[in-house]
Amino acid sequence: MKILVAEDDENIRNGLYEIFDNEGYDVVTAINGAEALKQYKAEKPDMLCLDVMMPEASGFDVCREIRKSDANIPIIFLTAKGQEIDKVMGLEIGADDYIVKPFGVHEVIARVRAITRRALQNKSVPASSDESFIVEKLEIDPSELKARRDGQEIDLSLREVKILKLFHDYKGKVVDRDTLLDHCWGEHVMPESRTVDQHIAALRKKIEADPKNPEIIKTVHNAGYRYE
Amino acid sequence: MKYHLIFILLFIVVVPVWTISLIWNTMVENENDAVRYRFGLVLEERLEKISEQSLGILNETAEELKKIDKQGRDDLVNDVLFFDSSGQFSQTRAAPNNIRPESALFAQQLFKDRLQKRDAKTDEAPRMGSIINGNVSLITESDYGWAQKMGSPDLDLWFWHFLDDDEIKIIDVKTEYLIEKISALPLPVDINPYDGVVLADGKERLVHLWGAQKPVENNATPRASVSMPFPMNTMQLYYFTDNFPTINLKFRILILSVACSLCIMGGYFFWEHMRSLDATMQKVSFVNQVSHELKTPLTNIRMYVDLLKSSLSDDVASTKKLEIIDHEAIRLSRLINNVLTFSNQKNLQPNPAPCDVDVAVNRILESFLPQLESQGFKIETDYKVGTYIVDQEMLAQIAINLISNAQKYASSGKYLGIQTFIEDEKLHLKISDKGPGIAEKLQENIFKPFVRGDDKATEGVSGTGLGLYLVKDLTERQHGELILNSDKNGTTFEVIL
Repeated sequence: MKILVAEDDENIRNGLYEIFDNEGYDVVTAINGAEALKQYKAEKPDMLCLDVMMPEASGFDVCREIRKSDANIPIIFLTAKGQEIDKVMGLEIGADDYIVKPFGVHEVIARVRAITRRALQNKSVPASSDESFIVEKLEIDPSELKARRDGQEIDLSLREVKILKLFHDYKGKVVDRDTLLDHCWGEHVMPESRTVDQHIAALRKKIEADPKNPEIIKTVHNAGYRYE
Repeated sequence: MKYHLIFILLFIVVVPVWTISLIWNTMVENENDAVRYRFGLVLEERLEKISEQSLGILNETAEELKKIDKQGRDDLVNDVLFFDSSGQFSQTRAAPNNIRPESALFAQQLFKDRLQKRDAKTDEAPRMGSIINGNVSLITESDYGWAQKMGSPDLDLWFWHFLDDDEIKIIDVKTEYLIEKISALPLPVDINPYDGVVLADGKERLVHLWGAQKPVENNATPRASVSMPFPMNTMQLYYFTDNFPTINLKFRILILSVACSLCIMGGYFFWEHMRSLDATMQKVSFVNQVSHELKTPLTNIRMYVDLLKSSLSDDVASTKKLEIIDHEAIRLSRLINNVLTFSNQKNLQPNPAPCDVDVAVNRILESFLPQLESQGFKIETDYKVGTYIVDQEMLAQIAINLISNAQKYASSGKYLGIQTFIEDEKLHLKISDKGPGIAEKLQENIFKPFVRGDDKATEGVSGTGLGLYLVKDLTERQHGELILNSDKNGTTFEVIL
């Protein structure tokens, strides 16, 4: 799933890149409104995250322009204004949600996941697989970005769903880091070697009863991971 | 925006100008009418003087006519007739065959009137005249009088005079004699010699003209008219003048100055409006600018702290330090939001929409949880509202400030209770603590801006002193109510929306 992030502040833009990338999105960035429109046409993203106050063309302008040809693509505004009128305006011109600066990572993730879920359920974004699958005691629903265990819901990112799907498909086999990177990050991405381990650690925290002694995703020393 | 301004400008200019021109026209018309009327009266008075003088000439002539015997006077008299009481003609200058029959009837009528008058003992209504075949005479109380042939535009005058109870003298008067005498009257001194006074006969033909005005040539309309006295009352006096007054300059200046001042006032108010609009715009854009400028670095701090936390998730000591940075950044954003709300207060309008109050309040509580838990707070929640129509942003800011207050000032109680419920169809949000309470004398002032609790209680506690003021303000903006209950066992704020 591809997301276009348009934000003029370099640090915020890079931060958002990292957040969305961690979540498992393909991220395209733009430094102003005009470039955002250019990137929108060239990259055909599935979702947009637009800063409101940008040079060249504001986020509202970009939104209006895009809504002329596409009424469904999810659009999230980042706004520093925080005044009621701006939010209402953002939603009225066809935004799906807004995030008020200053925001924390968790808020951004929560909002983007909610929008992604909606898009997946509306089928406005093609999902890799819709069918839910079971890993140990976890029932994973890719279109909900959720896992359920004993009636308890666990929020998952796109990437975490992909990782679990991979372990599910490779049940009993060792999955090395390269395979994980190929399947869950994409071949063109060259993340740091620690990235995979960090993700697995974070995932274990969510799904394992005791993350220190994992039951679902086990480490195979010097090889990779395995789900049995 | 521009159309809006043009509309206001049009409104400010067109409406007063239209109103003023309407008032102006009505006033000018009325005033002109009044002036015309008053001036007409003045002119009539002047004409009355000529009329009065004519009456004098008539009386003089009557005296002359009384003295006339059967010989008559050629310059004054066409004919003289004598009748007895039976209407029998007795004497005339003219040949008896030429006597007009109506003169005999007239004589008879005059005798009859005279007798009736004498016999009447009652106060019957006085008869103003008697008419015989179109001749009219004054009542016959005196021995003599004038009669005029009615219905004829030409002046046709008779004079009658009872010589005794059995003889009457009737004279056919030469009207030229009278008109000549009247024409010889001088123009009254108060009539401008450049004006024109016209004596016209019953056919509106000019009989005599006083003054320099040439009404016939100028095709002018008379400004006043007066009838000549009886028996010449078919004739009219007309007054012609070019110096007809219109409303005076003072009056015009008064109305113009009122109009001007109205326009200036309109302009002034418009200018003031524009200026205040401009100031508001500047203020709003300043607030937006500042908020943008402050929030961008804060966003970066918060975001990168979060990112760093996830990379350093194993390093407990670093994570703890990062959490402090995060909390302080969150607190700073709250403070900025309060200051911005305060400075942008005038433009705040509630924007109620259905929202899940319990979820919204809990989300705010969650943002405080890490700190509250680290301070050892016991937290009790009781949510019973669900969806309610309310301004979510304002509700959020109210809840943030109340929870933040409990955390700051009631940390000794280590308790925070949040309740939401509906009572009498109103939303109640109760936030209570078990802190030291607010001193009674402070309770009144605590909602004023920049007022904080007494020094001992607030020592070492940071804040701008805007929180409770904004809570009250935001509550009142939504026509809500804020109730404070505080004693030494704790404090409860109840917001009713």
